[in-house]
Amino acid sequence: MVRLVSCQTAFFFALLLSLIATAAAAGETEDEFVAKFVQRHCTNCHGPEVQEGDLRLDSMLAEKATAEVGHATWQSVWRRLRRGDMPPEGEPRPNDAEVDRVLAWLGVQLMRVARVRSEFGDEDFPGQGNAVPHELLFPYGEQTSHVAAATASPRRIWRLSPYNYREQVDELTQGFVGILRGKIGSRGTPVVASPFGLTSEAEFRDYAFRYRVGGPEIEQLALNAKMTVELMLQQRGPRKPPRDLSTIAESETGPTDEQIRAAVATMFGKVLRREPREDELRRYTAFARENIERLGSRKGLVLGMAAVLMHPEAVFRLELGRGQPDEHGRVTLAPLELAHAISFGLTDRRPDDFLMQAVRDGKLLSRQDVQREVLRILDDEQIPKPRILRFFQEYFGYTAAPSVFKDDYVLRDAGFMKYYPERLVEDTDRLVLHILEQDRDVLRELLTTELSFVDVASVPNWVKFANRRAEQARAKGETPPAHPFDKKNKVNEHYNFDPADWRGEMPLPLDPRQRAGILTQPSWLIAHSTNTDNHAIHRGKWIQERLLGGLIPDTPITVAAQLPDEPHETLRHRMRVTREAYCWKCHERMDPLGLPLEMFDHFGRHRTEGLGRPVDTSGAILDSGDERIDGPVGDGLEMIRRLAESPRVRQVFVRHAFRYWMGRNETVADAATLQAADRAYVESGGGMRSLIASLMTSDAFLYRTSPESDGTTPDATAESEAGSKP
Amino acid sequence: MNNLSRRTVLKGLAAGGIAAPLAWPSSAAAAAERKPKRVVFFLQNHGFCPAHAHPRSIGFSDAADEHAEVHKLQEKLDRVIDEPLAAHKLPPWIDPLEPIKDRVTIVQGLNGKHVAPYHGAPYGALGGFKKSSSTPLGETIDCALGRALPAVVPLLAFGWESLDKMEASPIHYASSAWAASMPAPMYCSPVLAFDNLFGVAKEGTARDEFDADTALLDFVRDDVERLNRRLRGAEKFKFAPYLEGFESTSERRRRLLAMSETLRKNSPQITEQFTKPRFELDWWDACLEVGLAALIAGVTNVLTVASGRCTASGSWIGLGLEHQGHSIGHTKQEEEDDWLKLRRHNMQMLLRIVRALEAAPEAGGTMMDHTLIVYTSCHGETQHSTGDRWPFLLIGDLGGTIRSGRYVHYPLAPHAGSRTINALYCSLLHAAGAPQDSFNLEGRQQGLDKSGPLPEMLA
Repeated sequence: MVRLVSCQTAFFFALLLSLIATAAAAGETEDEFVAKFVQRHCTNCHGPEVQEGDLRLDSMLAEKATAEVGHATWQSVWRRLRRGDMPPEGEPRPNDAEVDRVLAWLGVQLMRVARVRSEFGDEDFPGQGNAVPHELLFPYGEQTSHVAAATASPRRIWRLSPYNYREQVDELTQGFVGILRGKIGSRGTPVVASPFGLTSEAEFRDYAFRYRVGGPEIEQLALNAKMTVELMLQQRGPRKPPRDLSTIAESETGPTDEQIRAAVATMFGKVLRREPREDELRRYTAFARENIERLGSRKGLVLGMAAVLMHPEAVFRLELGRGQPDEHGRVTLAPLELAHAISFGLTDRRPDDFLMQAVRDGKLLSRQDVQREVLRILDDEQIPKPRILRFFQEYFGYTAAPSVFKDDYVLRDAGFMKYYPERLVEDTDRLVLHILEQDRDVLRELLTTELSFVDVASVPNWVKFANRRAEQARAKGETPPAHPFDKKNKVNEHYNFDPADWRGEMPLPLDPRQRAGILTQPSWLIAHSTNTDNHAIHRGKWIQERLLGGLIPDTPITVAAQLPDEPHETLRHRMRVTREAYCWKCHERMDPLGLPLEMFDHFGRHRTEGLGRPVDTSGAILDSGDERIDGPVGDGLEMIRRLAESPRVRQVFVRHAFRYWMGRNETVADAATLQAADRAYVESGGGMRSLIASLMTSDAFLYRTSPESDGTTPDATAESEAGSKP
Repeated sequence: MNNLSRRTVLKGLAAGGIAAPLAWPSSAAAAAERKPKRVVFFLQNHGFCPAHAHPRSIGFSDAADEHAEVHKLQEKLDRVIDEPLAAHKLPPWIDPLEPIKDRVTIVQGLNGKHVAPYHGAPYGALGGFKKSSSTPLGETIDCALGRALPAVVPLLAFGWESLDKMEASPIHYASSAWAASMPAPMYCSPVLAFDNLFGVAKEGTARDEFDADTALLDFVRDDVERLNRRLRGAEKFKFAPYLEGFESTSERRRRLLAMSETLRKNSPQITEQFTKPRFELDWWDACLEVGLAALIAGVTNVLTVASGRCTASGSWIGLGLEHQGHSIGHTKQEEEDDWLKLRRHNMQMLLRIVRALEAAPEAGGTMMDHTLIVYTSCHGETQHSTGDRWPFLLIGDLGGTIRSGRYVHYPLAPHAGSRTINALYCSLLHAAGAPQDSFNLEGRQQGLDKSGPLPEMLA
């Protein structure tokens, strides 16, 4: 049963505030109150006798929420208590004021112990980011923050993404290998495939904690490293191999030590963006020398230089920080680490010359320095910034459309002779980029725009051949084709776009009674569909989690999640099984949000009828956390437009941006960073530029927990290494 | 530390969020004490239809003569069927095994619903836990056996797909895992597998390259250890497989070097199948060549082949199937001719493994005498399966520890006497000489099945 947010929100926050102010003094009585509450309402099922769900609250209470494990559990208790899931139906219900008092107490405990976790568990996966109750991050809705917590990201290493790796090889070989652009070339061409993968799950894919490198990858890295140096040496014409390397490769008498040292330094600069330390220079030179003597100049050089590509810094990004911890036990990233963090935050490449110059000049130290560089990269149109588009791709998940299989007979029944989901993805990509170009009210525009690209991939070809086709048509006495959409491929039909309305421009306006933004783009609708139908549950789950900040637990393993196989019944009717009490607890938070999108079929076409009957597009926003948008909705467009006006939806979007750019989930301690980012977004009129700049100059981005704060001390050499010369 | 306690410790640590870096059991001493044993897993994607492994003459009732009825009959079954296979003719899909029927055991009716194998069960099919395309929830049986039957390469796994996908990701992850969040890689490129396993046995320059690679890895280890010293807590844990990877890779290379004479004797020939494949079947054959050579040379004792890499796609251009990729899973396995071709092709591959191992003498018999081949699907019974009746074929008796020549059908859950795929895997560990109470039935999975192996499986 859902407890709609009828509780006195203002009262709750006032209480929370007063508790924060007086927590120390009044702690005892609140502790007692909470202990009694738990005794009365919880311990029958979560006490000494019975521990349902392996949870025993009375003993946890005795330890308060101090343990890291307890932290996650208390967050879950907070959510379930607030939602009214607990105590369960049939048990005596506490009154709202009592619940609020417990929630406020728990909120204080959570804020007190909020710190960046140093170990990984299920709750670190991006899908669990919403585990932190929204109200603890944005307690005052639109008001200013009271949270002065000092935050930092964990001191960490971060495996290069496949994109980073590809760019690294690409940069070294100056695009010499066709493979690096993604497609496999003709057989027999050298292959430098990234040994690193990313999860294919529909979530943020590159979290810092997530990926490790093991033996088999190491073997492939070694193969790739040799091949990369070999390709560097094979460059011809305008792309010359680095002189320091080619001199040695071509040397017949054997290179001097000085030449080898120069080659090592060149490789360090190109790959790691720093000079080798003296001991490194000595070791790498000796290794190259040894191999040159054994295998000859060229082969020995390849092996010697490949070693630099195998250096752990060529495989992992370091974010270890340096210097003395501040009063909160945090250290700042070293300038070279910062340069990498900035560059990898926006592009797939290592730092460019400007960033490196700033590092060398000692001008990458302060928050202002970082801001200057971030804005410089953001504002420079010449610098490709694929990371930004990828954020929207991973947030909305529309790029999954081609992976949803539609069988031949399904396509035939739907009237498609050909089917090009990739083109639909490209349309949405272009729409996102178009809105980013304006950089005004980005989220609202994404959710509500009537504009769309329609088979944009076909336009250049059409333009290219339009004149010739026109000529041919005239010669045959036919009317020249007036639009780029051919009758066979019918990509425009996904949008219900009539070619007669083509005015030669894109993006073009679609019917506002049919479309509003990304959630009505065919790519998104197909990505959230099944092989044969819409997937109202997944669509609802997406809205619940990505827009409303809710958290839907995994399907219990005891549940065989299958709808009845009734091909002549509507999806809505088949979904009646989710209304069984056991299922509905979760499904009521998804289904009413997904069903309004029944106004589209599973190819993204707008429809008013299905199976010969009018389509029921009703649904509801229930207990969203923003009372102003709660209530029934008539169709998907009404729902989307209402959602787009909600500050909560905007804040949840900001939370997702935080996750993507920090490479981790937020904690309660990140409240200030999140609120500042939200403020920056609002004050700039909904600009992504400002949002990103705010996140990338936040404490969470700049600071790392110091090694001392987790009870260990680094060794002396390590600290001196942090100061390696760029 | 024995295997059982080591595994328990690893699990315990993983649950708390920290896990110790894995180190392979040292095989030299262990292998000397053990009798030779080896296990091969062969997974075909898109399902293994129960009718394909149900001889028509075996009746659950009098009317069991139509394949289409098998499904219904399975649901009615309320006792364990356990009878000799000798008197029955194998159905056409698996009849290539007819000549070795006395060594085949068909296992039907095992429950794997908790794996959710619909559209394929990466990690889950061999783990007996819920599938995940990215993060395995625990250890898979092939890895568990890899620990129990140690060799230079504890597990050699191959992933088969269309040629372009195999080329694009010569290393892939989907079938196997050493522990939760620790997927084990599979080779998709037979060339890469060959270089890594048999490179040492090559002559002249090839051998120089092997040595040079070894030197490179040894050299870089210093830098890796230096960074490791700067790491703490969770980061050290994350870094551990990298550090360990250098150690194990070097160690493996040293041990390969030590057995280079054996490797040279057993090395597969690099043919155009490796270097100029026409279609995926060429590379599949080449992978199997490398896998068999590795088994016979004693490089590994556990081989896993995941045809289709546990996804719901795939390609069979060389087999001349009409349906390619995902669509074959949308056909009826009992009726579609493509399925007859595909399944029989699988069986031919199994026979090839049997014949190759039979030709290799070992301990007064042949290697096949000490081998078990496990054939099933990473999808359960169909592409859109529930996993409630997961069929398996077992070939060989693993040194007399597994009963062979039987047809065993368990009643489906919730009938009394129903058992899970986890129990079968537990039985394999018993047969391999590494018994444990159950396999992946702890925690949330407790209660899915009783503990202990399947008595019908063990000799």
